[in-house]
Amino acid sequence: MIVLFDLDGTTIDDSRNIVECFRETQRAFGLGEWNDTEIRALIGLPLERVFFRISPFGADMKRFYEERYSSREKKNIIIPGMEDVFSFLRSAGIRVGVVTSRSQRMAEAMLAELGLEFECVVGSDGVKPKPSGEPIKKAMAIMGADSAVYVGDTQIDAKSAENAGVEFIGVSWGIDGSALICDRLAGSTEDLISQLKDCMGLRRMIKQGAEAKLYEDTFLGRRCVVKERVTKGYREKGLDGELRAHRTREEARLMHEARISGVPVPRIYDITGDSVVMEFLDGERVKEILEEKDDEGLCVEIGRAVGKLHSVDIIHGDITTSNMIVNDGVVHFIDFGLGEKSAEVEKKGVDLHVLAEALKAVGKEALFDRVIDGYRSTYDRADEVVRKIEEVSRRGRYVS
Amino acid sequence: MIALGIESTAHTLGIGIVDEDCRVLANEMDMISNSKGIHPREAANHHAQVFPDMLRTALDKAGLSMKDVSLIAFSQGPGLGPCLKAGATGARALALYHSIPLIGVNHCIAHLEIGRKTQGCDDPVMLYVSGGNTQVITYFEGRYRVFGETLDIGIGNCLDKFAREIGLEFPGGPKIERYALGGRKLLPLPYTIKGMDVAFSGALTAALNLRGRERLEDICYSMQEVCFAALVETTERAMAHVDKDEVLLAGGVARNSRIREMTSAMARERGAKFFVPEPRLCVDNGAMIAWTGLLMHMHGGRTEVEDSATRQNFRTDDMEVYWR
Repeated sequence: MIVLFDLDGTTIDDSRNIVECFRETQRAFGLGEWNDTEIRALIGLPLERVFFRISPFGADMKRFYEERYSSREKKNIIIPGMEDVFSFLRSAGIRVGVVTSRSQRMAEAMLAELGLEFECVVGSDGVKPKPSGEPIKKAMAIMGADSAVYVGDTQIDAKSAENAGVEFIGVSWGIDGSALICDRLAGSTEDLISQLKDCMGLRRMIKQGAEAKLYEDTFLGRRCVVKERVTKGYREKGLDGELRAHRTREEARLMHEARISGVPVPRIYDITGDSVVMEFLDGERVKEILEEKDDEGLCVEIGRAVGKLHSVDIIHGDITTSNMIVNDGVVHFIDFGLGEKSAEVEKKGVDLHVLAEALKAVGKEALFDRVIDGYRSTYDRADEVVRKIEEVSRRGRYVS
Repeated sequence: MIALGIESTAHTLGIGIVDEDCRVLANEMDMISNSKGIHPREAANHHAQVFPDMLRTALDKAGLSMKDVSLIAFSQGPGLGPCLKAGATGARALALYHSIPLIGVNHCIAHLEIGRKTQGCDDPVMLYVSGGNTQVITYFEGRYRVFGETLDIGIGNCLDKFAREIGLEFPGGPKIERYALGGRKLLPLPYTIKGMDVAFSGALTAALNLRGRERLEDICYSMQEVCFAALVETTERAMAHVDKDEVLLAGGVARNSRIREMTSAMARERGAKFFVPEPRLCVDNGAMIAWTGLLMHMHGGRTEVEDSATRQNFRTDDMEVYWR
């Protein structure tokens, strides 16, 4: 599988140069000048077609425009972060190409000037332009690939990918912005890397929750789990980013504090804006172990660990048997996504009540007493909490 | 079979008539108008006053007389005590005088049942948003269970209170929605989710404190964005928890186009289907009570007069769902 990139809006932002050259061309040919918005709306269409639409001297205008354009200095117009995307693909051994509505010559000159290397560049010459699928198919033929992912920023790009029968990833920093309608929309270049990994099958999704996706990936050569809090399109962008960043930080902080308090959790390798990269724990979930036998010693261990968490006021928030993994004979706690810090006896009671319910659901309520034994041995205010558990279960919302 | 439904949980008296295929033959409603909000006793008086004429209009529109009616359904709760009593009194009188069976209906469940029937969704998670009620409900192990709800005030109440404080007339929600269209800046308001539950009084207080310091358009915009996002988030959690792929939006606030847009976007992202009943079946109305009563009655449900006392705090999960 190869990855093909659109140029303008996706890989580079050259709109200022384009707008000014366009206007100069209109002026030179004695035509009325358009405003920025009007010109920007045309970016992505083949130039010649645009010029022929407004004047019979389309071919001359195109030549003039290209001259003006190539005489301009190209400042730093590569979209920040895109070079990371390319180097990621290079390191993963994935071949890349460009499919653009610019003429081949202009596109190649531009890329050479910017020092970007692609295995193949397909311009608008000689093919039916986007939104037809031809340019993409041509690039695939040149590179000898039978499947591809196209990365673009406009609805036209999405359409041409559809017409070529390839996967599409939209980017939200281009011309259509986040109004772009497509199945995969990357909000940042980091996000684009994640989406590319998914498309290319470079990482395996372990689980999709309401809030986050869990992937198996590698980090500096080690097997890891990436918990990525996904963008919610329904939320206002700023609010969405803030919530995801805040929760990611909180979760990592709780895991760190849990480790300090002596409770085994996966090691954290890295934290980015919306994901926590952590150690991959091999082993069996407590759920499966208890299905096989009533391991009382294990339940005491669990109780001891919860006692340690509660001693430092960490509320896990979702202590179920699926959220504990036994690795090398040691119980590890995972998924602190619903966790918080609180000294309230109420919250500690609810925390344990969740575990009691989980055990009850599989007919193992007797084991909860062993959990409490362990809990009492590591937490000196256990009695208060145990009393609370009884109260919590009496007033349960889900009457049965 | 023809059922006549009486809805009177809050500001609206609704009388609806439906048949066993849920064809809505009449759906009359009248809302007490008071610029400041609902006064329970005044609302109850209003319901009692308009009841006889509205009943006549409903029957006329349906082309029926009381002889054709085979079931009287009424909202038994939850709601404002005096308002509930006004509707229940009317229902009992009709049932006894015409010797027709009576059935008490849970108002929240009625919102869900009318949505299921008219929108063609089978087993949805319902985000029910109105003035007094704000709940995430779905069918689970024999009951309609509340997976999340407001811990303090309803979302509609939150918007209406804000509107009243800044001098807008009741109901304030639609006016806030109009102002929000001009909003450009998201102001920091508390985003309160506790587990699966939400709370709005913090956002309300914070929004009121911003009065005069920020543009009204921005405050309204921020209230909608923050409060609705919290609601949609808990709805999504419930869907993930019970693994369902249909979401139904109901209640008066479902008329707000922003919450519709957000809920449907959430559904789209999850690959789930989104449903919302037409406006007259979304707000408090008699047809939904009639239909739910009829559904229960067709499965053997019936409420004797001595058991027909209204229940202000009638919980959604308080009854076995024997009709599905």
